Amino acid sequence: MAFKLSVANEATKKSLISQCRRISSYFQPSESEYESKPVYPPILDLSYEARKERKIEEIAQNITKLGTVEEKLIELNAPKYYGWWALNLYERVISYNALPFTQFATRTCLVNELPSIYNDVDEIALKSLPNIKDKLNDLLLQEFEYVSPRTNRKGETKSEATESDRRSRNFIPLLNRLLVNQLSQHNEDLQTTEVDYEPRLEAFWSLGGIEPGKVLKNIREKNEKFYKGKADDPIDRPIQYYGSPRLSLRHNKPLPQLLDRNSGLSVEGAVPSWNLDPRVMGYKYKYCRAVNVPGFWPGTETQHGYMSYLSRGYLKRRDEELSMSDHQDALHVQAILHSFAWTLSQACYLGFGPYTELTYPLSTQTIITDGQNYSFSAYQLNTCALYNKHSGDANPHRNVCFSTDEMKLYDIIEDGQVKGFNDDVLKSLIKFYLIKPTEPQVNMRPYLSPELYIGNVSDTERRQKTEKNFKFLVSNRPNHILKDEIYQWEKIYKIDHDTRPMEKKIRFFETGDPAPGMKRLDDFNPKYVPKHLQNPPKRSRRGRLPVQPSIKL
Amino acid sequence: MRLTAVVYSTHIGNAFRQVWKVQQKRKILEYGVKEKLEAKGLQVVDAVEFLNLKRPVPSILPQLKSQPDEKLIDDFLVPKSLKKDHTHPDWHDEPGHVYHDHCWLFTGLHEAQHISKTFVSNNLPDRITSFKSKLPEEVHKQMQQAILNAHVLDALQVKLPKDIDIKRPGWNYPRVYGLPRWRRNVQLISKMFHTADSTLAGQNIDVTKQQFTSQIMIRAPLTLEGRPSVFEARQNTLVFGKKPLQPYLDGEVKAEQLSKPLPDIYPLNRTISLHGKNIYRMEHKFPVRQGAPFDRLTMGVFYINKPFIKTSGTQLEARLLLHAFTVAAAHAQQLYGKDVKDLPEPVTINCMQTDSRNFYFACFQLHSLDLDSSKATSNLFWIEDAQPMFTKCDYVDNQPVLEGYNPQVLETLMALYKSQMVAAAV
Repeated sequence: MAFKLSVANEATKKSLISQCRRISSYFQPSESEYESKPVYPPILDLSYEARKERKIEEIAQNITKLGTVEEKLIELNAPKYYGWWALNLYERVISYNALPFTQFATRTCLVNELPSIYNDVDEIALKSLPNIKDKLNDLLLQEFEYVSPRTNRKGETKSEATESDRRSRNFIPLLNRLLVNQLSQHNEDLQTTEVDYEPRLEAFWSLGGIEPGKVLKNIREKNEKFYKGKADDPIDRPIQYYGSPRLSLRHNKPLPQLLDRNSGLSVEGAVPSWNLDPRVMGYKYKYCRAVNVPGFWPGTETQHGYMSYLSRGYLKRRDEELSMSDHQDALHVQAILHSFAWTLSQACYLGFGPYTELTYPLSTQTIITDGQNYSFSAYQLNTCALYNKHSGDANPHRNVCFSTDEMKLYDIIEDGQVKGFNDDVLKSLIKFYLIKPTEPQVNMRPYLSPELYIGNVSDTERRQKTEKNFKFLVSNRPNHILKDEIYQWEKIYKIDHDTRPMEKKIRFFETGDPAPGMKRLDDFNPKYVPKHLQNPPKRSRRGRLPVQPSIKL
Repeated sequence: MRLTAVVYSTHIGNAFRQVWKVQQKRKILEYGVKEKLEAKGLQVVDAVEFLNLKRPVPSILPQLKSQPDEKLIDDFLVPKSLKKDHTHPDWHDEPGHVYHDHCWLFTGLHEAQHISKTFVSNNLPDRITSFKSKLPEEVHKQMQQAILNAHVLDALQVKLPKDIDIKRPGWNYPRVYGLPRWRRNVQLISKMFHTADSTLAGQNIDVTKQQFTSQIMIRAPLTLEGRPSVFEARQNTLVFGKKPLQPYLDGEVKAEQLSKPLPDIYPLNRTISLHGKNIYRMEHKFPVRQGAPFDRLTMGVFYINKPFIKTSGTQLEARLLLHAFTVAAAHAQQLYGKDVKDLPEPVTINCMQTDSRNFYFACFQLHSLDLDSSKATSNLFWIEDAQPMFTKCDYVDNQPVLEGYNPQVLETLMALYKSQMVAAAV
């Protein structure tokens, strides 16, 4: 016989029930706990691979569930107190034959021409061409013939690369100013763009499907019981990118889609499968924080990238050392990495991230130039979560990069004249500025709470702690507390060959404590708060504490 | 231990310990190689003599009479910084005055007037004020967003200088990583000009008549008090146009202004803040060569990048005057020759100075570079009061906040900028 309790609210009811249960078992659970059909929990696959996958999906879910951008970005760093052992990619350090690896690392398929969206603005570009050509002529003469760049008193610069970079640092903002002002009559949105000079661009993602290193393989081969036949199983490698475009334009509305996310190249494009450890390319690993910063802090109105200019001074030295045969590939790599990093960090500010897949595509435009040579590229980010198996066939989406070969705007400047002007390059430049950003029709932030950023949260303590800690983590300052070090002699005489079994086991690798690399970000004794200032959480009647947040700050 | 026969006797342990001392003096053993080679007609030269390695080196240790060895030296991997004495390549026996970015004049604007022989008016010229107009609300909104983006929302984090409270010496504040002052200045100015350009483009004014140069050193060598003096400006952005600006005052009105006496700075000499230095360079430096499409200087924007300078009185106005003078003088020397004294045509420029919060706007008209002439004043300067762009732009309660935005600043800049565009059309 069911007995209905009518009380003030659920909390009272539950406490009454739990009290009553201690006394008698006559009271039945209330009707809301009954279902008409039995609801079974899901049958879990208990194999090793499935358990591993569930573990990583749980991490991804935890990050996706958090409500504000800053908390998500801190949570990326949460498992590692000393930082991630991540591959460091720099914008201007591109190794030989880096294109297949870059395409795999960013899951990009490369197309050698610009997308069809630029054909729509062809006519207007042609109309404005002659006017802009005159002015650009004057500007080129001014900058490259008559303005003397910064040199030491003998007229030397450190290297040709420095000279090229200095010239482009002066020229690119002037070129941008010219085009924005001349084309704002055709595209009013240009007047409301935000211009940034050399913004800081950093992006972090986790790449799955990489072959394990020698050390891990040895461990697995020794441990036959658990890793039988699985010694070569692929692992995830974190990747951190550091770059800085010369100039970037931002707008409060995103660029339109370049192509459909669910068909065509986005699902069928060719992406090379390059599973080797990136160290074979000459890149290095370092302990670093997971930083996703697109050049501005969260809270900006203009948070969608419109266009960026990159400089190519580093190619002067690279061409000498690595031969011209890899010149064009280097430009493609620079464009792909920069575009992926910029769209990924913008996606992080919209609630997505390396563990949260996109629900709609993001696009960006890039121009790599030094004043004379130009290469254009347009990029569409369809997928940003590349962890575990999502870097391979399990992920239907691919990112698409439309990148042209390098073209010269002019051949040479002599006798006070610009010779060999190439109209096509100028037309492409103009077309880039004529694309209008559009208000999208989808929910732009499905994984964020209504507050969006931690600055809008009303809980003072949480807001202050999160904001301060976010800025602290992301500042890439050197560690105050260094990671424990195994000295050379210890490695030889204690670990590799145990020649000192009689010694007291007091070192961190002997005591059986978890490895320092497993220490979590909140694994420390917090600062002492005097008792009269403490706010101990209220204990419930049953003596249970309320649920702790995922990471104490 | 006392040096006795016991200590002195041969002891295998002591000998073992002295081996390193003995071994460091390498013995060159003679195998007769030199004689055999010379017999075959090959010249053998001592390497030490050949490379001149046995130069006497001042030893930091006391030289013992018993061991007066000349040490072999190796060249320093990092070249030693040049000593600031007569061995310095830029040393001049005659001391000269050097004015640079970090000079602060003792009494402020009056001293600057005496140095550059300038008459100062306290308002901008009428031609500029006639261009002042109210800007639409959207432009001001865009400017406010630009200020937030330049000051607070720029994500660059660089180690900043230590925060010091003089009243609590020895207290270490947590080290701040954030935006440096120079970055804020450059970003804010470029965003201001971007907003100004967009507004003018909306009014169908061709903005490309004026082109910018980035931060580069300007140097004007002149003579002051009979001594060679150098005026340098490094932290600046210059604006060039196709045609020069028309002078603001001419003829009778100009003569009337120039006849007024300068304010007295007795008992100070006008060069009191420009200390005489022996190390200076007298080369003329200007970024744009003659013959360029845009080779007439029309505007100079100067930055104040030092974070903790305490200024009083009119020191900032004086800085603006002398920087404007430097830049105009360098341009005049380029146009009319290095030794020109009285210019055939006056050089007129607008100028602006900022420390990313306070803005100073001014106009300068240069007639003569003769700083030692008997005339009291030869040049003209119009300067407005300092205008703060905002009262507060910072993170308050963990949210970016801008308070007290002053629309006058943008409107003054627009007036200056627009007058340049229209003048260039003439």
